[in-house]
Amino acid sequence: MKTTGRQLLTGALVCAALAGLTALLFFAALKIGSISVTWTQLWRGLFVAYDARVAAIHDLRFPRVIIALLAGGMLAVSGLFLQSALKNPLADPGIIGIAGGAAFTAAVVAAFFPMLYFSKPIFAFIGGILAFLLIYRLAWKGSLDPVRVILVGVAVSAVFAGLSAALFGMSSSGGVSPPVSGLSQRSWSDVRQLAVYAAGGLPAALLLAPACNLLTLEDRTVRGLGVNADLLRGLVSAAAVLLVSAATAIIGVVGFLALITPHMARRLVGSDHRILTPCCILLGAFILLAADTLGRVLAAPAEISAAVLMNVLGGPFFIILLQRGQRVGRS
Amino acid sequence: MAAHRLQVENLSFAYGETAVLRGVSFTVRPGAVTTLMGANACGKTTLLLVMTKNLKPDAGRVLLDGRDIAALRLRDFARRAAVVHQKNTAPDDLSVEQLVFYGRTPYGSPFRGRSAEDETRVALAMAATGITDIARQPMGTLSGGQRQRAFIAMALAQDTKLLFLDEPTTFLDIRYQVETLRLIRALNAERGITILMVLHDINQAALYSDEVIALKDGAVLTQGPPREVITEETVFAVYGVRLPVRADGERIWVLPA
Repeated sequence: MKTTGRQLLTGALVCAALAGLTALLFFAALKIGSISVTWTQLWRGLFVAYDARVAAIHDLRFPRVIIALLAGGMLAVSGLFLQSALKNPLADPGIIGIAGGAAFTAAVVAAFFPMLYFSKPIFAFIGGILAFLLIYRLAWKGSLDPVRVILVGVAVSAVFAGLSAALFGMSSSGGVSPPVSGLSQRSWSDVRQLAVYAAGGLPAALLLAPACNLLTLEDRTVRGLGVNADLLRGLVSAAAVLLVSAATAIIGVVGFLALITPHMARRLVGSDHRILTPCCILLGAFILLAADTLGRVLAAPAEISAAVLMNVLGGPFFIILLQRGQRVGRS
Repeated sequence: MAAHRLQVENLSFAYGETAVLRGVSFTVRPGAVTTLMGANACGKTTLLLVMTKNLKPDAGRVLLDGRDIAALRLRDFARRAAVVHQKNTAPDDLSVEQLVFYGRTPYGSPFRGRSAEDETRVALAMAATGITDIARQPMGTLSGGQRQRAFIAMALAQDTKLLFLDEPTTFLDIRYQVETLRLIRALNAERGITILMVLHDINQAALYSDEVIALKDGAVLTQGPPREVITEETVFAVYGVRLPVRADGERIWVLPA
């Protein structure tokens, strides 16, 4: 299973470049915004001496930047793993309703059991798994047809979006407002909550990466190699659902990021998941932070949410993929 | 390692209400090339899938060296028997060598690298299938014949004395069909691998097998060396068409006209 030296080198270089770019973006994202500071001020305020402006940035901007990085990485890997598990290049946890299921159960917990606030991601996971099983069950006809998965997924997604809307409708009379979603007004406690799942989920994803390579072969071939393909698919799917659910519990549904990032990463480093997975984490982190920062700058002082930006940019991308898929299907 | 004994006892299998196998029994001759033949939808591929732990039989059992394969873990089975399925996919940018290394999966763990044994087995498998010089090429650039050899090499890397092949010639041009069948014979002759394959083409079965097992309506109609088994009567019974059977020395073939 060795990757040839050149592929490995390219992969390492791309990852290093992405890490560098993300680091640059990280500092830019901290600096850009309504509270303006100079680079030196930012540096001194963070690492040397107390500065009131920098302290405000530390409390307000820092958490959202970190959350964008973590959630971006988690969503991207989740998309990669779903695409691999379902053998479906169009799979996106946002489009097929897994994120919707997670967001719904998270909202139920937030509305009715606020004391369980800190286990919100666990309940989101239950919703995500529910949605996933529903899609799997409904789309399964001896095998999983990619387009069928998408169609069933869109329906599941609509159901959960409707349920969430109904929940807010009901609960608003009781004085419960929809939970804050998106990346604005995030606090350090949100960071801690998400970091726990990122710390568990991302390393687990890296460990599963070699196994994802096997899923690129036919199921029968995988079994012939002594590996239970169904079990493997279950594990990879569970990891994907956990990652997207935890991220969704904190920032709400963000579509298309999980779809686009793996495709871009494959272009950059090829299809070996041992390189593709870390590349996806970095690229996803970069893209979501870039979208969030752009959203803060474009219409300042108003904000365009990262989820909206991702929809605007991701929608056309999805259409291109659909058309390309049809062409392949016909030939 | 002596050749494995492979027996099938009274196998039955149904897809839902549709019975496909109805009490199939036979013994595979150790060290021989055996071909399952029969008309479309007679259960050849289903039988192969049951024999390779891809499907669970409704009744009966498959014995490998006297042990029911149902009691073998997938991984243990994969160390004893390798399978080349009819339909194969691999990422276009995967190199041939990487694919062949997947054949070492039953011996490895995802947490350790390649062992010297892995390297040796992969090199041998690529040499035996004549793909050493294209080891670094991506799968997406190969011809149909090269692809098939790469997947056979992957199966060989599993280092088994038993090899199953499901219609290994179906998607290939005649040149690659012959190339593949000659390779299979050579693997049998040089490495003593017992081979059980499904072939669609009655003449390929006749010309490249030591034994033929003819299936009809989910049961074994007859079994034996091609010269004894492939007769006008058998061909009519299996395929429902009368065709002249010709012989030339040891070889026998059916004129499809």
